[in-house]
Amino acid sequence: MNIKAIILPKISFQSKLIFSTLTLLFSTIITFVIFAFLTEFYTQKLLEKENHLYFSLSKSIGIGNTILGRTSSFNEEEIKGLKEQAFCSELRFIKKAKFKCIAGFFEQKQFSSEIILESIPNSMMDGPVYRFYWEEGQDEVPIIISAEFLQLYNFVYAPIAGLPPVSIENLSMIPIEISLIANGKRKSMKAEIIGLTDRFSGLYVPESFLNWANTYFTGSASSRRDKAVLKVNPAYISEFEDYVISEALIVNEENLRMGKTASLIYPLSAGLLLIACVFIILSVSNFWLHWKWLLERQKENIQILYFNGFHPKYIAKQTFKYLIPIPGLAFVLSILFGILIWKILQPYTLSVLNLDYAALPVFAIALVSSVYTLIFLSIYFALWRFCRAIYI
Amino acid sequence: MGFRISELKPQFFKENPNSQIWNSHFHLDDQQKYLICAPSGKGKSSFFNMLAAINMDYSGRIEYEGILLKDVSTDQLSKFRFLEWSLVFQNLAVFNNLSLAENLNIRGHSEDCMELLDQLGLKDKLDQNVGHLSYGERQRLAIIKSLNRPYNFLIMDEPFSHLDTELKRKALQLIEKDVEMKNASLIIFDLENDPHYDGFQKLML
Repeated sequence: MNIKAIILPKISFQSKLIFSTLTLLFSTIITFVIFAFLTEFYTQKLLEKENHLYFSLSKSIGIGNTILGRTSSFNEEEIKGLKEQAFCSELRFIKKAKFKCIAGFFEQKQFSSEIILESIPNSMMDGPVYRFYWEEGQDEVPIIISAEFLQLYNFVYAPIAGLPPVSIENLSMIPIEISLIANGKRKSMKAEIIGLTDRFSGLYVPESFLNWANTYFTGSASSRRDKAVLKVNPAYISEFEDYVISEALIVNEENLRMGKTASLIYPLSAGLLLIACVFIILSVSNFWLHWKWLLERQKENIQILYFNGFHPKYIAKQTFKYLIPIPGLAFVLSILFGILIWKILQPYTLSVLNLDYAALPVFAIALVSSVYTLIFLSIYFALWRFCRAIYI
Repeated sequence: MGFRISELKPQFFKENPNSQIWNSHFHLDDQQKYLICAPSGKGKSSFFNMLAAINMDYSGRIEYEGILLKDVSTDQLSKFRFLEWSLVFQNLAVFNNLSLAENLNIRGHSEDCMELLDQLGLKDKLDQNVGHLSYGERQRLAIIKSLNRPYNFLIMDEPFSHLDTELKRKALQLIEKDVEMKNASLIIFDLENDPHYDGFQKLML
């Protein structure tokens, strides 16, 4: 039974052109939405994950300090001044090891190097913090290293030295021995790199371990307040920047740049998303109106089908069957375009937001599928209503 | 059971006071043949549309199989039109953009009615676009189309208006044969009574 020939006898060239244009429009818009969504989503994720931004802060050392003998440590007044600022959500200090630490691989003792251990309170730390604990008597020390170190190794050192690149999983499997030496005492312990930190640039051990080790080697757990870690509310990022300049402080600029980018990307992507949604609504309306116009032209033929006993539901289903390949094609195209654009933009977005993007295409596909399911359902509903309205 | 009609009165034109249809009670029963006769402009097509549940602008009641047509659901009406009623409209209601064979295939198979096509002189026009046929040829197609499907009531509005006497005789013979074969009823609307309609119950509109 050739219902198609009755419902849609001859789609003119112009109609086909409109269809193609609509298909492209759909794809582009959906792609647009995917990207806007992803930017939006990951910015959101960034702000959620790092609901605050973290900075390591130290005083700049100039000639003046050297001549006048000023200390690089923060004094009580400076600490109080910092804590009073609106941008300051939390202020803590990095503890430094007061002993020498030599790290090496267990099996190849010749590969060893002196390292500087530091500790940051777990509340400020990122990475696998749930494993970042040490108790006295525990033989193995967990270490979190800066993600930059791993990148430096993989992209700079490994290619030159002809070594294979490593992942964090590989790294945690390498047995490491640390030798702690100070005041004539020496202690060897096992260590494991358990994860990476995106916030800070250093090698970090749990605070409890550093307190114990500093006490063990020097008799005192305290250390100088040279380097602060600051939790900053992103809403006050500009004020923070002004403060850093006015107080001549040194801050990890990467984080500052990231915070500023995130605060810019968020409203921008939200705006893009809004525009994309308006475009989607317009194009779906346009698409439907075009079909409605075609069906209106065939109203008499559809009514003849009714006189022959065909049910409006059947006509709606048949029409839907002929109509659906168009948004269907747009659906496939938009997913392909979306992935392609994502692949092209990935390195840039990665460097700006510094996030793990593994789940990104899944979200894009899930979003597009949901949007299209909604579009398909709306079209079917509108078709059914139209067919029902012209039923006599 | 067929149709039960009572106190039927059109809303938008003045009915003939001598009519056997308007303002009266009557049945259109199973396995009967009816001729509804009236000159032009007396409401034949209106009554046809009322029976087919297309026109609801009337007062009174039309029931089919005990169901009031004014209250009939879409499901029920589609079922009546699909299985119980076969309609031939005055304006034919064929698909002009399809071929003759395609038109017949909408509710059956063109191969099943080759004899009818042959007898009414359309056998060699199967592949022709209906839009290119004469009105008389299209009228014959509409008749064949209405026979080429199951029905209990075959309702035809001036089905022979563009056929010559010989073709009308032939067509009516084929229709009566098909109706008898299907144990169905036949209702024909026509301008006037003529000898071809012997054996029909006549109702004046």
